Amino acid sequence: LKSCSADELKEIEAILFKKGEAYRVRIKNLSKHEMSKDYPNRYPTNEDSLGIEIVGSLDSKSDSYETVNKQQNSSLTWLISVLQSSLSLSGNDVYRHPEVSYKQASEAKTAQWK
Amino acid sequence: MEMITDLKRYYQSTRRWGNVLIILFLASCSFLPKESASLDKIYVVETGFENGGEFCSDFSMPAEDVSAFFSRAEIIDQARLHANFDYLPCYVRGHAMLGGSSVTWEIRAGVTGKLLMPDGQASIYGCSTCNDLFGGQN
Repeated sequence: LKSCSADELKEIEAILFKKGEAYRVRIKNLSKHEMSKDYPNRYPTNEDSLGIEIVGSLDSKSDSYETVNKQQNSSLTWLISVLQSSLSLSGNDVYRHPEVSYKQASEAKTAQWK
Repeated sequence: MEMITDLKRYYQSTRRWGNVLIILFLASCSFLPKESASLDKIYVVETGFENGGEFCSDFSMPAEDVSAFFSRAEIIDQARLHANFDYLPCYVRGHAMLGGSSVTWEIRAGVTGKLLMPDGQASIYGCSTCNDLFGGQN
């Protein structure tokens, strides 16, 4: 988890709790606000990240993704290790999608690469 | 090896933004589209929020707005839900009638919704013209 100062938190709360704006607009405004910072003082954005897609179906009834299987995790482990060594990334630079944006909590939850 | 070279090139081209990061997605299979829904006898049963949803914990919706949402929203597939909408941690849930069948529904604060049919089939909805139903303006 990333942290912020008390002043930064005030700014963030002012955006998130702003009355008269739809919730989706508030989080878009928060995203714009955060983009003014440099990584790693914020979470990554689409502009400075690579996405790894793991195929898996979403059960719409329960809002949960199927479990990532052993072979997928094995391939993921290989790919991330190659990317980390090639791009000089650390383990702290790898995120599950719901950690950086508002997505279903089960997305990539069962992905394992360490 | 070629892929790694390409990635290095990509990394160098994006260096001005800082590190290239890795985010894990799950890509899902498609979902057949249907039309928007006209609900009757709408009952709101539950409102609530999950972890991190304090900012939208006041989200609620009267029955007439539930009706408006499902009539204005369109059915979206899972890929579009993932790419174009946020899954916000605040929700309103209830039940209603749809074409003579009893259905349960859920609307999330990120202008998304779901209808669950008696046979267990679920349809996902998204609405790009519904901000006024969610505390904002269109």
